Amino acid sequence: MKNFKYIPAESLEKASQKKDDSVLMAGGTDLLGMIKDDLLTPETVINLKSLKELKNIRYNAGKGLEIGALATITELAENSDVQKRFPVLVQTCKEIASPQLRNVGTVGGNLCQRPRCWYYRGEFNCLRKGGDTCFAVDGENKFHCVVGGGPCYIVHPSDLAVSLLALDASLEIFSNGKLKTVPIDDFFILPEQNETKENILEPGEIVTKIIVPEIPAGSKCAFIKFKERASWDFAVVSLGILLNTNGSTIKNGRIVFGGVAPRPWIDTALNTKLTGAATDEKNLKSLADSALLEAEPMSKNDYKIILVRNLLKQALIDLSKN
Amino acid sequence: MARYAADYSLPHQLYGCVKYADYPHAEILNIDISEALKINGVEAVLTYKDVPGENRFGLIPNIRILADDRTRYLGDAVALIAARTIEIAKQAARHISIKYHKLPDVIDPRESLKEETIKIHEEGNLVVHHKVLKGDIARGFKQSVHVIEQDFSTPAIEHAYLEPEAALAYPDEQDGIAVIGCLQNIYTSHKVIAAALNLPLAKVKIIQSTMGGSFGGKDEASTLVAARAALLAVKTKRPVKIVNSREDSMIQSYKRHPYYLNYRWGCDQDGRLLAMQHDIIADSGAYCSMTPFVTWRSVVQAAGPYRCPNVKTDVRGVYTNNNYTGAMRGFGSPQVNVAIEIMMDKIAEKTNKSPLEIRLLNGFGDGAVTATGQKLSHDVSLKQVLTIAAEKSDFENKWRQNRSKENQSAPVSKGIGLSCSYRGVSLGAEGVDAASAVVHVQPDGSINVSSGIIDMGQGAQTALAQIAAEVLGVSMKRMRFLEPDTTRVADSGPTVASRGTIMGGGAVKIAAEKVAELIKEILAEKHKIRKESLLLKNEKIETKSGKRVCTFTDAVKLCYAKGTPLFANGVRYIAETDWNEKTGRGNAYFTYVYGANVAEVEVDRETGKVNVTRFISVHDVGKAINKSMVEGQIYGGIAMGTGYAIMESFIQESGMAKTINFDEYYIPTALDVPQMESFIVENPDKHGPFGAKSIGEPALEIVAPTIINAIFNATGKHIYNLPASLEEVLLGKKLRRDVERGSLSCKPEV
Ligand SMILES: Cc1cc2nc3c(=O)[nH]c(=O)nc-3n(C[C@H](O)[C@H](O)[C@H](O)COP(=O)(O)OP(=O)(O)OC[C@H]3O[C@@H](n4cnc5c(N)ncnc54)[C@H](O)[C@@H]3O)c2cc1C
Ligand code: SF4
Repeated sequence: MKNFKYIPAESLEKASQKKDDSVLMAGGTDLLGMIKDDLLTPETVINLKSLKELKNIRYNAGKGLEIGALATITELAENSDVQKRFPVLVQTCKEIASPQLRNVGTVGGNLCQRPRCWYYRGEFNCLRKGGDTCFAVDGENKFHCVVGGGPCYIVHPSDLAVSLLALDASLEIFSNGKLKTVPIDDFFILPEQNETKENILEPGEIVTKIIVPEIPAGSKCAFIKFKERASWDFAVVSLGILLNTNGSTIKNGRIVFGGVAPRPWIDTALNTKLTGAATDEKNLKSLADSALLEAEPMSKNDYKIILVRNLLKQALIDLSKN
Repeated sequence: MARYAADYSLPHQLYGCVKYADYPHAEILNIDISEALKINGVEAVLTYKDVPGENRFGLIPNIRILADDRTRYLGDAVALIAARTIEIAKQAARHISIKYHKLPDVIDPRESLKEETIKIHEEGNLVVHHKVLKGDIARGFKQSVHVIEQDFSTPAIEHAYLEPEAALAYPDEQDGIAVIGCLQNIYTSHKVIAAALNLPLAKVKIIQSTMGGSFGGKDEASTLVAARAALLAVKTKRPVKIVNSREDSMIQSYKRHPYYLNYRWGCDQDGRLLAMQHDIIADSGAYCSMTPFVTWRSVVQAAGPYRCPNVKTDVRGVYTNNNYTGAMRGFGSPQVNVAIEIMMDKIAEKTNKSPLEIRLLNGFGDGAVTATGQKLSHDVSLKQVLTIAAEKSDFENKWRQNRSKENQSAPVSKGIGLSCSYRGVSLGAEGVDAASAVVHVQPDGSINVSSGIIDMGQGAQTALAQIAAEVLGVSMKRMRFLEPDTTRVADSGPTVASRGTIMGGGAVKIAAEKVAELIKEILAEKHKIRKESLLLKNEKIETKSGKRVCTFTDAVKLCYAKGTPLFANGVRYIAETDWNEKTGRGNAYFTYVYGANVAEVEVDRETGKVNVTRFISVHDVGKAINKSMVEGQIYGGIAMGTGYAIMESFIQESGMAKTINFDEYYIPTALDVPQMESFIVENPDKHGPFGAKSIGEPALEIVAPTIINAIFNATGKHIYNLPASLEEVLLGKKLRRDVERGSLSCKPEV
C-alpha cells in the first residue's frame, strides 16, 4: 500500500475539484480494500463524510423518497418511512454484506463500488485495469456474467442497484458546479461502452442523492438474492421485481436481474411480455423460462440461467397470489 | 490476556516479507537483488545462496526455505527482504528481478505419473505408494452378486485458522537466536531453524505464543515463516518480524490433500461385502509435507469399519505444481470416508436395505479383524454408536418417508443421511509415539504443568491440568499450565492425530503420579504408616480407612522442609504397533474410536441450495475428561465438515490461487451451520489416562458423507464430487471449462 494524504471534504465544490491522483471516499469499505491491494495508488483521499447534508433520508408523500448518498445502508434499513413505504429496500439492505459493513458502507458507495472479479482484484493486468486481455474468458468464470459481456465479463456487485432500478429511481449528481438528475438506468454502462468503468461518472462528479418515486398503488415488490453462503456474500444471482396484477392478469411490472450482467440487467423482451400476461401458474412458468434468452454463458456459469429462471418463476407465482 | 505471535514487538525491529515466485514451475536462472538493495530503508535481501545451513527440510527433505533450483508453486519464496517498514519491504520485493526458464506446469495429479509428464523433483513425481492386500480380490469379485464401481473426488481446502502465521525472531545475548511463533510442532521447527542457521540446537530457542487456531495447518507453513524471520534476524543482527496477511497465508500455506478415488465393491445377495478394491491418487502439490503419513492413514482406513475377506487398496501420493498439501484435521480420513460411506449407501440401495441395516450387517463387532489384519481387542462400539444415532434422530422412519415420490419431487425436498467410522488413535505405526510432560508442585502448593502438547485453542491445557489435579486430589485453582518452550520440555512429538489427551495426558498422569509417590513416601515416613494406604483426595491426604493425615499444602511444605522438591517428569510411550509396508499388514494403531453421524437437510431443487437443518453426532471417546470441551470439539467438527460438504474449495487455475481471502473462499458462517446435538459414549480404554481416547478429528471425519447421503435421500441423486455446490446439486456436474462460449445448452427446450 502506498501512503496517501487524507483530507475531509470542505464542500461539494472543493471535493469535486478533484485531480487525477485523488479519490473520493464515503464509508471506505470498498475503497480502502482497493488501496490496500494496490489497485488504486492515490496521492489524496478526499473523505465525503464531512458533508453532513448528504446524509439525510427524507420522505415526501406523493413525491417519494430522497436518500442522501452518504446515508449508510443501516440508516436506510432503519428509517421508519422506508420500512413503511419501501419494505423492498429494507429487504435488500439486509441481504448486503454483514451488519458491520452495513453500518459503515453508504448507499452512494454501494452504487459506485468496483467489481469483484477475482482477476481484477488480483494481480492481473486485465482490460479493466488498462491491460489487453480479459482473463475470465478462458479462466475461472463461474461468477462472471452470462449476458451483456464483452470485452469484459464482470457482474455488477451492487444489490441496491437492482432494487433501485426495479423502482425506477434516479440519481442526483453534482457535476461541474451544477446538479443534474439521471435515471439510474442511464447511470450504469456496459463494457462495450467503456471497459474501465461501470457508470457514467467522470472524475470530479459526485452522487449526492438517490430519488425513489412512490411505489404505484396496488404494486407489489420483492428482492430475491441467491448466495452460496448465508451471510457476508455477494449475489450469485438476484432479482428485483415490481408487479401490478389484477386477479388473473399482470397490469404492468418490471423485472431486473443482478449477478448476470456487468450492470443491473433489464431483459427487454421479457419485460415487454409482462403487460397483459395471464397469471396462471403455467403461463408464469413459461414467462420465467423465457428469461435471458439472449444469454451467452461462459464455460462455467450456465447454471446461473437456470437459477434465474427458477427464482423468477417462484417470485412471479408468489407475487401474483393475493 | 492472550498474546499472539503478531502481538510481540521489540525495539529496533525490522519487518520481513517474501518475493513470491512468478511462475508455478520454472528454472531459476538468475536473481538480481541490486535494485532492491538500493532502496532507502532496506536492510537485507536474501536468496537461497545466503542460507548458511540447510535450505531444505521435511519428511522427504524437499521443502525449500528459499526456492533454489526451481520454483514449484506460486507460494514459493524466491527472496526475503527485511526493511524498516513493511511498505518498504514490499516495494523492494517489486524491484527484485528474476530470470526464469519456464517449464510446463503439472496441475492434474492424475497426469503426474504419466511417462511423458515432466519430473517436478529429481526422484520423480511419486511421493509414496502405500498398499493393503487381504485375501484374494479376484475370487471375491467372482463370488459377488452385485459389483458397484464409482469415481469420487474431494477438493483442496484451507484450514482457515483465525490467526495467519507470524513470527518474531531476535538475536539473544549469547550469539544465539530466539523465535516467538505460532507453531504446531515446535520440536520440528527447532531442528529446521537450527539446521538452516547452521547453529547447534542449544543456541536456538523457540517460544510458543498463544495460537489462534491451527487444525493441523501450522506445521511447515509456520515453520517457514519462523525460519525466514530467523534468517533475516541473523543477517541483520536485529529483531525481524514477519506477519502474514490472510492473502499471504492462503497463497503460501499447505491445504488438505485433494483426492481422486476409484472404489469398486462386491457383495452377496444380502449386501454382505465380499470384495473391496480402492485406487486412490492424492495430490501432494509442490512438496512433501505429511503426504506419506496422511496417505498411510488413508490406506489403513480405506475399507472403513466393515468386515470383508478380500481387500486391495493402493494409495499414491504425487507431486504437482499446486499448493503443497499436508496435515489437516482428519489427516487422510475425511477423503476416504466420503467414498466409503457413499458406497455403503449405494450397496444398501442395491440390496433393498436401509443405510442402518447395511451398516449393522457389515460393521465391526468385538474381536473383528481389520483390512490390515489387526484383531481389535478393545470394546468395539460401532454398533452401539450407530444405534444411538439412529434412535435419537428417528432415522429409519424419516429415511423411509423421505423416499416418497412427493418428497423427492417437491420444490424443497427433505433428506436424512447416516454415516459411521472407526479411526486409529494417535500416530500409530506412522511414527514413534511418545510424549513427555513435567509436573512441578511449588513450595506454596501451587502447581505448574507443562507438556510439549500445544494448545491451539482446543483446550489441551485445561484437559491436561485436570488430569494432574485429579491424580493429586487438588482443585483446578492450584494449576497453571506453562506454554511449551523447547528448552523446558523434551520432544513430545507433534500435537496431531488427536493424540493430545491420550499421549500428553498420559505423560502428565505419569508425572503427577511420580509426584504423588514422593508426597506419600515423606508422609509415610513421618507418620509411620504404609505409603500404600495413603490417598490424595479433596485437597487432603487421608488413609484408605478415611483418617485425615494432613492438608495438601502442609504435605507440600513438609516435603520441601525435608529437602524433597516436588518435581517430576513423565514420558508416555506406546509401542504396541507394527507395520509391514511391503505387505500392507499389521497392527496399525494401538486402539480405535468409533463414531456415527446423522444429518438432516432440505434441498431446494430449483436452485440447488442445500440447507443442513439438523445434525446429530455420536462418539465413543473412551472417557470424557472435560465434557464441555468434548462437545466443543464435536460442534466445531460439524461446522468444519459442513463446509467441506457443501461449500469449501480452494480454487486454483494453473497453480494460481483464486480464493485468497474469505470473500471468495467460502467457509460456513454461523447462519450456515445446522442445529447440532452431541451424544458422548464412554467405553474406557486401557491405553488412555482414565480411559480417555480422542475426539478432535473423529468429530469432523464423517460429517461430509453424512450430508451427502442426506442429499441422496432427498433427491434420489448421488453426488460424487465434493463440494455439493450449487452447480453440482442443480446440474449434477461441476461446470467444465471445455464448454464452448455462447453454448446453447441452457436454452429451454421447445
Ligand atoms: C466483504 C464484503 C462483502 C460485501 N457484500 C456485499 C453484498 O452482498 N451486496 C452489496 O451490494 N455490496 C456488498 N459489498 C459492498 C459494500 O456494500 C460496499 O463496499 C459499500 O456499500 C460501499 O460503500 P462505502 O460507503 O464504503 O464506499 P467507498 O468504499 O467509500 O467507495 C466505493 C467507491 O465509490 C466511490 N464513491 C463513494 N461514494 C461516492 C459518491 N457519493 N459519489 C461518487 N463516488 C462515490 C468511491 O470513490 C469508491 O470508488 C460488500 C463489501 C465487502 C467488503
Ligand atoms: S471480467 Fe473484466 S475485470 Fe475480470 S478479468 Fe475480464 S476484463 Fe478484467
